[in-house]
Amino acid sequence: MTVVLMLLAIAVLLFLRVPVAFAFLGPGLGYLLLTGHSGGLAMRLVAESTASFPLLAIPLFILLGTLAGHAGIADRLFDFALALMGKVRGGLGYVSIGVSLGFSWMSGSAVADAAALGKVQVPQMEKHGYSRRFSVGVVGSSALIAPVMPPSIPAVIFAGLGAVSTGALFAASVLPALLMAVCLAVVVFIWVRRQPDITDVGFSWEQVLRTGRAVLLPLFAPVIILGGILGGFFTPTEAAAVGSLYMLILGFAYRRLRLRDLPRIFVETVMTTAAIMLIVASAALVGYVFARERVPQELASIMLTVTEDPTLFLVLVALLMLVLGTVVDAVAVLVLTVPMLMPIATEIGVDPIVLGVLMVLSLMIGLLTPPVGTVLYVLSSTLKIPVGDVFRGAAPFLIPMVIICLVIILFPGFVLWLPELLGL
Amino acid sequence: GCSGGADDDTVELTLAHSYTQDQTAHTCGAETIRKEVEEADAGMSVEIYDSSQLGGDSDRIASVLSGDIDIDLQGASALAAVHEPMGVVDAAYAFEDAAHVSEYFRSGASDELTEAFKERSGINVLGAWSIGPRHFTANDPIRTPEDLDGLRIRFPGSTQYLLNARALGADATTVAYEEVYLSMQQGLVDGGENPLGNIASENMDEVQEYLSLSAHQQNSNLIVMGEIYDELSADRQEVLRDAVRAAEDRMIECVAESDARLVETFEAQKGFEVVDDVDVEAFRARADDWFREHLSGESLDVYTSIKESRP
Amino acid sequence: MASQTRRARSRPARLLAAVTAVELGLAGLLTGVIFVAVLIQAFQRHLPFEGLTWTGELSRFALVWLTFLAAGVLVTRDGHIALQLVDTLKSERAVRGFHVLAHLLVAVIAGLFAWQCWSLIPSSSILTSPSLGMSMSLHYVLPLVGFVSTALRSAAAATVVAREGVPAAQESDALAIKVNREVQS
Ligand code: NA
Ligand code: NA
Repeated sequence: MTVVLMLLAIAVLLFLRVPVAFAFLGPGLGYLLLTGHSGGLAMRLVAESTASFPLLAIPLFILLGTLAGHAGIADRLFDFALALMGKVRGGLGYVSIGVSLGFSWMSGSAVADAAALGKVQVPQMEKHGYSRRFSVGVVGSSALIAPVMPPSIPAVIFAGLGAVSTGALFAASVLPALLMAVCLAVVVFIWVRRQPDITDVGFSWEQVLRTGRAVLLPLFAPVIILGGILGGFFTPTEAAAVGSLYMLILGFAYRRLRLRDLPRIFVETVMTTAAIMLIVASAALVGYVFARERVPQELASIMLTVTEDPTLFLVLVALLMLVLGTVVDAVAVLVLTVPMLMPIATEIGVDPIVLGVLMVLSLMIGLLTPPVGTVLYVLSSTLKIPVGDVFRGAAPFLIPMVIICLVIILFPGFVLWLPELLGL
Repeated sequence: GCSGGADDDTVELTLAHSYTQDQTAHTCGAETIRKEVEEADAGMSVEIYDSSQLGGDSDRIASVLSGDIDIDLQGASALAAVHEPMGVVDAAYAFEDAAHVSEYFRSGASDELTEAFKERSGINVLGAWSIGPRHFTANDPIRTPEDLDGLRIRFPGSTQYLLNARALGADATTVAYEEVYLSMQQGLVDGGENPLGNIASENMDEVQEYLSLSAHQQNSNLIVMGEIYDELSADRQEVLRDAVRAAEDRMIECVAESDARLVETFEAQKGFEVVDDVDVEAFRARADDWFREHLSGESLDVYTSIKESRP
Repeated sequence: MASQTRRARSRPARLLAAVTAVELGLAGLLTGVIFVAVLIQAFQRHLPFEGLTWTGELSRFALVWLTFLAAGVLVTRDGHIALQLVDTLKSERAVRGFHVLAHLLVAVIAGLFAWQCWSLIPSSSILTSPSLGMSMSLHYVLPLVGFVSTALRSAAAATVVAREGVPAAQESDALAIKVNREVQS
């Protein structure tokens, strides 16, 4: 009963525009006090859930992405992709996907990507006759590659909650992320065939070589990060720090960073980290209430009466993530549902790695859907375009994302192939 | 917390721990306590929250202190966060075998320690058991203290474990428990030391070549209860103590059984060799010398009280 | 009239800027601590000397402190992730009313958590952290600062929004990555 009241209160607060973190904190605290818990428990729980070693990868991967942005890596990737694809029909569409793909190896969240890349690319595309909606749709949807491709913040969170290997989850995410890029390119291909107005930008080998040299060192960052993890030099958390150090050195070498820029970079990292971590912490408080009320066990028994078939279970999970992802922040959904879904998955023989990749991917779709779609808001505010237009532009690109979810469900081997090849 | 009908004054006790539902500390330990308490029909019931659902070890100590959790299973080294000398219970080779842990806490030898602990924190120690001895795993066999030279062995990050590493002559590396498997697999650490149950549940046998049966530390669980224990009637306190004793006896059997079964499984396994001729005496003597030289005050008293409790 | 309110606000505004600088400075420093501590941990394993064992604990604590310390600044800069259904309402008065209500609710919730931190400072004094041996009382000091700041900033934001409308309470431009949609000004 009390737990129903708590959920109702959360819903009301969310609707009233109380920030997600506080909409969880208030009712969670209310439940604990009403059920006779001690006065400090709620605060202890939120502090404890933040103090987890795997979660340290979050500020560090955010730092890495911020440094990469300030070091001008996105511009270098853009120039290179443009040199390669400029002559192709609809080239700027593919450029956008290519840049996101390149940047995704250095960034763990879609928000930073959308902010950094949207400002450069959308005006460029509009200049060459692409519609504003389409441009913002390409940029927004390809920004979703970043949280799927390692390093991935949602994957770090899933691995921490589900006690699975971050390295294996990272490896398993590579192919789905590449497939995303391919599928988005197919949508671009279909779209540009019906657009007579777009113009191309030209091509020269000299350009390709010049810009290619400029991305050589930045593209070594993923080698350090993934190579460091898979080669046994660092844990994922440590790899994030080492990758940041490398990016810092690059920034200095490229003369894009000075020592006096560092405070600003660290403050930017703090703001993004705190916004994410507050939601992790507050969702953990609600998770504690669920545990006390045995909600996971009840949900599990309901789920198991519905199905013991792994495929159907994964379909239900994907649907649940799609629905929850539209209204609640992805991180909060992970914190609340992973402890419930993991035991069921183990029970009916679903590989936790497959579950992780599927959950991350299907949740990321929600970043582009109203009412809570962080990427949507970021693009809308940085480009001064109404949220509705951004969504209408992005909607066609969501179809291939759903198809990839289906591929993962039907052919889990597609996800497991790489981690197994690497012996993870 | 307390709840239930007002007229019959039923007490519902929360028991929390960090083990999964198939580990012995849950099946033979916590479940026995629950069953025994219920069968005693003393108006008490026990509700178990396993798998760290109510928080990790150190978080739950705070919850026992604040009364948010009634009964908890805690390692002695974790309880050192409240009262430092308690950590000595987890000292390397302090106990002779698993049964010795329960024996020590039943005997008067532990009174000074548990009373000091109670005075400092208000927490009662109802009893203790071992979830099994900790053994080394590595890619080399470890038979003597010298074999540890040059190996980076993962130890848990708390003070007593790091003291144990020094006492045994190991080069300790701390890696979060969540990252142990990967660290072993990638060679980030050369080895680790864990009870057999954890070695199996974390699949360390997949990523290590040798299991050396050093049995260098009894991995203790203390059954602790906050001030709610003092509020119970003497009869109910008796019921709880008896339930804990029954669970201790059950645990000693279960752990011996499951450890024997695990050793058998590991012996049959290719690529994971069981080393059963570890020079335990050499390790034991080294650790004993080290602790007697480096411990002082109350901690040394606890150490000698354990050693003398089974001469 | 506009210049008058500006002059009247300049002192609190300067105070606010100073507080923000301290909060962000500390939180930024803590991020630096995480960066350096994890780097030390990453490299020491490959070096001959014995490792430092407290790096993991220190960085985990730093993550807690920076998270709650930054909560207040996120209020003033509209950086908390929120559902923005009410922003689409036609009536400016209604939008304003909802914003005031939301700010007040945040102020109350943050105030309650500040009280929790306050009560945890004495009650945690008998606990020490396993690796650093730090008294756990200290653990809740920076979160206390963060929640007090959140409560005060939200209460202030509620007053400003009530008097001058939604955008007046926000310094969204000061935030590098804006999470929330900008409200038409
Ligand atoms: Na990424
Ligand atoms: Na959404």
